[in-house]
Amino acid sequence: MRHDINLFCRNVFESIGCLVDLKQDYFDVIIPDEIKGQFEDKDYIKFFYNKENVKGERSEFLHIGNPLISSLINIAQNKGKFTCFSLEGLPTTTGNLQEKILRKISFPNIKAIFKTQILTNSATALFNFKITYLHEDKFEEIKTIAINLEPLGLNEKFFTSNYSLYISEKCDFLSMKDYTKNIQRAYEIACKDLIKKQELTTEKMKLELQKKLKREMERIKEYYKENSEEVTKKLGRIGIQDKSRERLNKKLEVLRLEEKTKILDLEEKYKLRNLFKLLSIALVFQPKIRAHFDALYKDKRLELIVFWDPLLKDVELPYCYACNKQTKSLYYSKNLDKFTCKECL
Amino acid sequence: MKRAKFYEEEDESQVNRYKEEEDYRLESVRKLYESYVRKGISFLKKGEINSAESLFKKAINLNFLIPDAHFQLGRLLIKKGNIKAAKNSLKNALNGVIFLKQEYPGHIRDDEIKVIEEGLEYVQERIRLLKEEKKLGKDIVDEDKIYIPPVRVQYEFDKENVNLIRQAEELNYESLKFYDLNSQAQNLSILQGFDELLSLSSSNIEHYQYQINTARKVLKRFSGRAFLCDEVGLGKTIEAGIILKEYILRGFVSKILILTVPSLVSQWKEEMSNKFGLNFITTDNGVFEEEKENFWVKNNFVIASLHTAKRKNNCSIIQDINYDILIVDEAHHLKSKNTLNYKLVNSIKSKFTLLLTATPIQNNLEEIFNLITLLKPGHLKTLSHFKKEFRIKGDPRSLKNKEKLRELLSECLIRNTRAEVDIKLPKRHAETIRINLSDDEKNFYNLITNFVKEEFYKSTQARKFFLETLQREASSSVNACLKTLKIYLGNNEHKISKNLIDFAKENREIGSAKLKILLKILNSTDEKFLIFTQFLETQSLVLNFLKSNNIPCSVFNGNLSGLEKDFNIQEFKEHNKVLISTEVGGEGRNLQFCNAMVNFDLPWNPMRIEQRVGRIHRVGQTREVYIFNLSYKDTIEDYILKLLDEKINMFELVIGEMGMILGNLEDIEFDKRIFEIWIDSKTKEDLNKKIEKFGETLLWAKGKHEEIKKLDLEIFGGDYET
Repeated sequence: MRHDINLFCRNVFESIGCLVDLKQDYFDVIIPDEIKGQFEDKDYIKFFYNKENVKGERSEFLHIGNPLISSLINIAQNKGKFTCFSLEGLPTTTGNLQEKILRKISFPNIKAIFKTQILTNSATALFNFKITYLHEDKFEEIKTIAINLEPLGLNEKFFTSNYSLYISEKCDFLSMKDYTKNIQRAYEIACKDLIKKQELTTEKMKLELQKKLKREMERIKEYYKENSEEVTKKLGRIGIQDKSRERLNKKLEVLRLEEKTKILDLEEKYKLRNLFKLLSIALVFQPKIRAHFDALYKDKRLELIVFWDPLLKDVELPYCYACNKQTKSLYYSKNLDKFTCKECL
Repeated sequence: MKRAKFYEEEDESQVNRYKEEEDYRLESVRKLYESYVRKGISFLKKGEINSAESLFKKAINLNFLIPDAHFQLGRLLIKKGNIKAAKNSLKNALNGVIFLKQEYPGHIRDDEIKVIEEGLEYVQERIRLLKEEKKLGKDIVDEDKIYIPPVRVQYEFDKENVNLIRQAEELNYESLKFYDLNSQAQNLSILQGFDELLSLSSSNIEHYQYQINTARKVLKRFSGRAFLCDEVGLGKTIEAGIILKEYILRGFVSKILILTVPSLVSQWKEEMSNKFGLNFITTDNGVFEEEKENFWVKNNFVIASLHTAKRKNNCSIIQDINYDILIVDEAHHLKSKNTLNYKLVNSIKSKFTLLLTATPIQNNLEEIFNLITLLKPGHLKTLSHFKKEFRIKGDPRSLKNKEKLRELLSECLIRNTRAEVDIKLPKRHAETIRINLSDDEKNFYNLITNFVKEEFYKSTQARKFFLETLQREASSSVNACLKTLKIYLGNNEHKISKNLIDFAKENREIGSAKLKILLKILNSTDEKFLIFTQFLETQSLVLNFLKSNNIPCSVFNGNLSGLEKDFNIQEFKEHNKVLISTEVGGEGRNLQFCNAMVNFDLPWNPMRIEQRVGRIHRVGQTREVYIFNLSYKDTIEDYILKLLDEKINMFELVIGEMGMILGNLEDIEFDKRIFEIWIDSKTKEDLNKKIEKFGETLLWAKGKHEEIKKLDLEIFGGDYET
C-alpha cells in the first residue's frame, strides 16, 4: 500500500507539470506557481515515507488523510475520465469459422447459411462505476462493466481475457466516430447490469440493517407501550368526571405522537441509499471477424451476423433483440421480426 | 262524611310528607353511593383490589341511577381478568348512562358516554381474542404484535454521469496515462470502516490514545449516538471534535447544531476553528439578530446556547430542521424531563447525537435515566422499571444492581478517568498582588468609571461595547485607554472625552506601579515567565519597560505571521526570559517548558483566565505552576479576583472545574453580570452588597458541584471501564 501511494503521488505530480526528485527517505516536489494554490500555496514540499523522519519546514508525512495527498487524489480523479485505446497484435485469423459458429450456436427455427467473413473493427465501452452504500456507515466499491458497442450488449467475458497485453494508444479517429452514437444506449445497459450486480451486497446489508432496525424498533415500541399502559391504568383508577382525565388523555396522545416520530427517525436512520457514480469511460477498439449468414425462415430471408472475437479466441454469442442477453439458441420472432432467445420468442 | 273529609285532607299532606321524605332518602342514598365509589377508587389507587370491589358492589346494591359504580367495577374486573363479568358491568354502566341522557339530558356528557363505550369495545375485543385463542389452542393473542417495516432502499444515479456521457459522445478524450491515474486515485479514495481516522492529520490537536479509542468506539460501535462522560479536563471537546470532523470528511454530515451553556458558546467556536479548522456561526453573532428565523435554516454549522435555542420562536424552527448531527455540551442541563431544555433536545431530529458532560448524575439516579432515554428510548426500559431495578426504595441516590446498570450504560456511554488514562497534573499556586493606586491613578480611574457609568445606558449597542472596553483598559494602562478614547470617542468632540484624552496624554506614567511590581517578580527568580495582557498597547508598554531593564523578551499576538509566531516561541524557549502574550497567544502551542505566569491585567470572564492558566498548566507539565495576578485595589478586577480567588479558590481547582461551576449558574454570564453590578451600583456600599450577593451565588454553585462529585463516584467509581 505504501509503495502504491508513493508511486501514485510521484506519477500524479509529474503528470501535472511538477518536478519530482526521488531520494532514499523522501521525494521532493517543486510545484509551478500556476497550481501551487491547490497545495496550500507551497511551491516546494518534501514527502517522507516514515513519520519519524519528518523534520524541518515544508516536510510532510506521505499518507492517506494528509490534506495535500487528498488534493492530489482529487486532481487525479478529475482527469482521465474518458480515454480511447486499441488492442493491437491480436491473431486475426481462424480456421473453420462456420463450423465453430454452428457448433456454438443453435438456430432451432431458422436455417443459417454461411455467406462470407470479413475482418472488421469493433469497439467495447468500459464503464467504471463507484457504488456507495450509505446508511449509518458507508461502504464503497468500484465495478467496471464492459458493453459491446456493435452488436450492442453486455460483454461479460471481457475481463477474463488478458487484454492488457495488447494495449496500444494508437486509435483510428475516423472509425471511432461511428461508435459514439451507441454510447448512451450502452450506458443504459451498463446501469441495468450494475443494479443486478449490486443486489447481493444490498441484500446482505439490508439483512444486517433489518436486524438492527428490528432491535431498535422493538425497544422503542416496548418503551412506549409500557408508558401508555401506565397512563391507561391511571385513567382506569379515576372517576369519569375527574379533572385529570383530560390531562392523562393528552399525555397518551403525546406518547403516541412521540413514538411515531421516533419510529420515523429510525426508519430514516436505517434506510439504505445506493449511489451510482460514473467515474470514467474507456473505449477499446479491436479487430473482430464478422461472419455473414443468410437466415431462412419459411419464405423469409434475413441477414444474420455473428462475430468471432480474437481476444477471447471464441465465437461471440448473439444478443436477444428483446432482453439483450446473450443466447446460445437464436430464434426468429415473427411478432418482432427480429432474432430473440427462447424466453422472448 | 266527616270522616271521609278527614281522610282526604290527610292524604294530601301525607303525599307531601312522603315526597319530602323520599327526597331526603334519595339525598342520603346519593351521598352514601358517592362515598362508597370514592372510597373504592382510593382503595384501587392503593392497590387493594378486593376492598375496592366490595365497595363498588355495595354502591351498585343501592340501585342508584348514576352509573359510576358499574363503570369502576367493570374496569376493576378487566384488571382482575374476569372479562365476561367486566362486560356485564360496563353494559350496565352504558345502559344507565343512556337512560340518564334521555331522562336527565343535562346530567351526563357525550364524552363520558364515549369513555364507557370505548371500555366496552375493548372488553368485547378481548373476549373475541380469548375465544380465538381457545379455538387455535395456542397463544396467538398478540394484539400488540410489533410490525417491523422493511428497510427502504433508495437508488440514485449521480446527475454528473450525463456530462461524462456527453464527453464520450463528443470524443473529448485524454491519454491513457491519466485514465490509469484516475483509476488508482478512485481506489485510494475508497476507505472501508473507521479503522483509519482521517480527521487526525487534518486537525491541529495534541491527541491521546484514549481520545482516539473513544472516537473509534463512537463511530464503529455506537453508530454516532453516544454519551461522552470523561472526567473534567480530559478533553471531551476534542473527542467530539474528532468525531465531528471524521463525519464531515467522509461526507456523512453537513448540517450541524452544537448546543451549550451561554458562557461556553465562544469557547466552542474558537476550539472548533483553531483545532479542527471548522468555522461555525453562533447566536452571539450580529447575523443572528438580522436573519432571525432564517438563521437556523440558512446556516449549516451553528453553535447556540440552550437558553437561546429553547425560546419559543427559535424552538419551533429548530424542530422542523433535519440535522445530521446534534452535539449537546453540559448535557446534565437536560437531566429533568419536564424542562424546556429536555423537551427541545428530545424533539430535534438528528441522525447522530453526542451528549457531553462530566457529571451525568447530579441529584439522583432518575437523571441518568432521562439522559439515556433521550439518546436511546427504551434502553433502560420505563422509569418505574428502572427504579425497581436499580434504586433502593426511599433513597433517590442509592444504587443496587450496580454491575447490571454499568453493563447497560456501557452500550452507549463512555467514561475515561484520569487514573485510567494515567494523566497527572502538578499543583498550581496563585498569588494575588493588590496594588494601591496613587492619587493621580485613582483620579484617572474614577474619571473613566464615571464617564462609562454616565454614558452607558444612553448609548447605542456599538458605543456600549467601546465603553466596556474602555473600562477594561483603565486597569491595564493609560496607553490602552488613549487609543480607544481617540479613535472611538474623541472624534465626537465630546467634552468629557476630550478632557480624558488630555488628561491621559499628560499622565502616561500612570500604570507604572504595576510595571515595578512585575520587575520585582521577574528578578526574584531565574525561571521563565509568561505574561498575559489583553491589549496590544499594554503589551508594547511592558515590552519597552522590560527591555529598558535588560530583560530579554519575546512577544506573541494575533498580528504576527505563522513563521514569526514559531520563531518567537522558539526564542522564548531557548533564549529569552519572558514571553508577553495577548489572549490569542499560546493556543495549540507547547509552552509547558514554562511554569510561571503573570496576569498583568485580567479578563472578566473566568473561563478566559482558566484558558490563560491552561497554556502552562496542562498535560505535559511536570513542575508545579505559579500564577501571579496583578490588580489595582478597588477596581472591577479587584472585585473579580476577590470572588474567584477568595470565595471559590478558582486557582486551586482542577482544569475544567471552573467551567462546571459556572455551568451550574445556568443562564448567568459571569462577565456581563459583574459589569452590570459595577455600572448599576451608586455607592461603594451598594457595590459591596451586590458583589457579596453574587459571591453567595457562586458559592452555592461550587457547593452543588461538590455534591455532584460524590454521587458520581458511587456509580462510576474508579473501575467503570473495566
